[in-house]
Amino acid sequence: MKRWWVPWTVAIGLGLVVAGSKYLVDARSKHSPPAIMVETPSNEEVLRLRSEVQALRGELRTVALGAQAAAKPQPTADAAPSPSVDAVEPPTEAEQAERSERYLAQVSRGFQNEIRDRTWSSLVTTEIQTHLADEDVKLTGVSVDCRSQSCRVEIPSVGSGDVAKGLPMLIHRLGITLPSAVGEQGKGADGNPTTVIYMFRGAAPAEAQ
Amino acid sequence: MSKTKTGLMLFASFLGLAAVPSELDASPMIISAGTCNPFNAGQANDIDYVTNGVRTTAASNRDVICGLTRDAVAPPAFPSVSFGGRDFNGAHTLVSLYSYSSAGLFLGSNSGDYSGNFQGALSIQAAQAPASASFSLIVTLAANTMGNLLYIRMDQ
Repeated sequence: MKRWWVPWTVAIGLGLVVAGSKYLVDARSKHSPPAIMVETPSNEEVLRLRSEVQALRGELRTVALGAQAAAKPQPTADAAPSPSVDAVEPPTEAEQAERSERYLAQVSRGFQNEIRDRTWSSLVTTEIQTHLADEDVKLTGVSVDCRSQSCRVEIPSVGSGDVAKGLPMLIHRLGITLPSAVGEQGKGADGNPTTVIYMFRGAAPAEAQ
Repeated sequence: MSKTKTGLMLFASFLGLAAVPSELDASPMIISAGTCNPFNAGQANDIDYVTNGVRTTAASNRDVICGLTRDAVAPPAFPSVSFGGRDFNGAHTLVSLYSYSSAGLFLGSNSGDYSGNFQGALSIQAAQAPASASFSLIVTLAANTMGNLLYIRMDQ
């Protein structure tokens, strides 16, 4: 009798060897921390756990996509798109712009409703003005209004200095006193464009639902 | 075809599928801080690059800027950046994360101050981090090589 099972056994054996070695190589490369971290064991542990979480996220996403595909009804001529599939799509540019606009309006309202703490306001205004004059900031014509939790800083886009260079450095220099900031484009009293920055002494406000 | 042969072929196919890596398993990007640049071009000679990061040899603190890589196809909904470094003799490292629109307008920022062997993380409000936004870090390095920024990790 012809031994038909011999080549199959060899093929499966080879397949197992290739799949096993590939799995080992993948697992090693995924779980190896970068060379810069090998000196601190606690960092290694954190990186290993992060890699594992990332791998689990990937697997979860694969399972979720599979489940969605299985749950999706077969398309018919008048079938509406499945809401579960639409839910994972990223927002469009228009939706994102609307979201940002809503958030900025919320931040602006919050600032307007904030009471003024004279002591804190005076101290922080002085600190901001000091940094506005720093060699690597050098911004002029800037209006500063500090309340109790946040400050509104308005910088004219024209004639106030090198905003592209000075603004990020102003924010950075104030990073300990006012660690978070949100920016929007506005118009000054003269109709010229301005950059308005809301700076917070804690985290920036969470988006209202 | 016999049932045995069919079963064996299915088993072999399964093995082949198991060996294919999943492309959905997107990984975070980790870069060496050695890719950072002096924020002020005139101070380029004050910034010293080492294989595992960046520091300054100047007698006073210096700022570097680090551009961040972001997945353009599937950017994270809540962008987060983590980083690590090492400060000596009580030195501090100030780190600020920025988001800018594609038109170059400032959208948001978040800052933190670190010391010792540090690992930090900063994020931007999702409303101020649209898919088209770009991110960068400004880091103040302590004078006389007392502050080292080692790596930056952008979660995808």
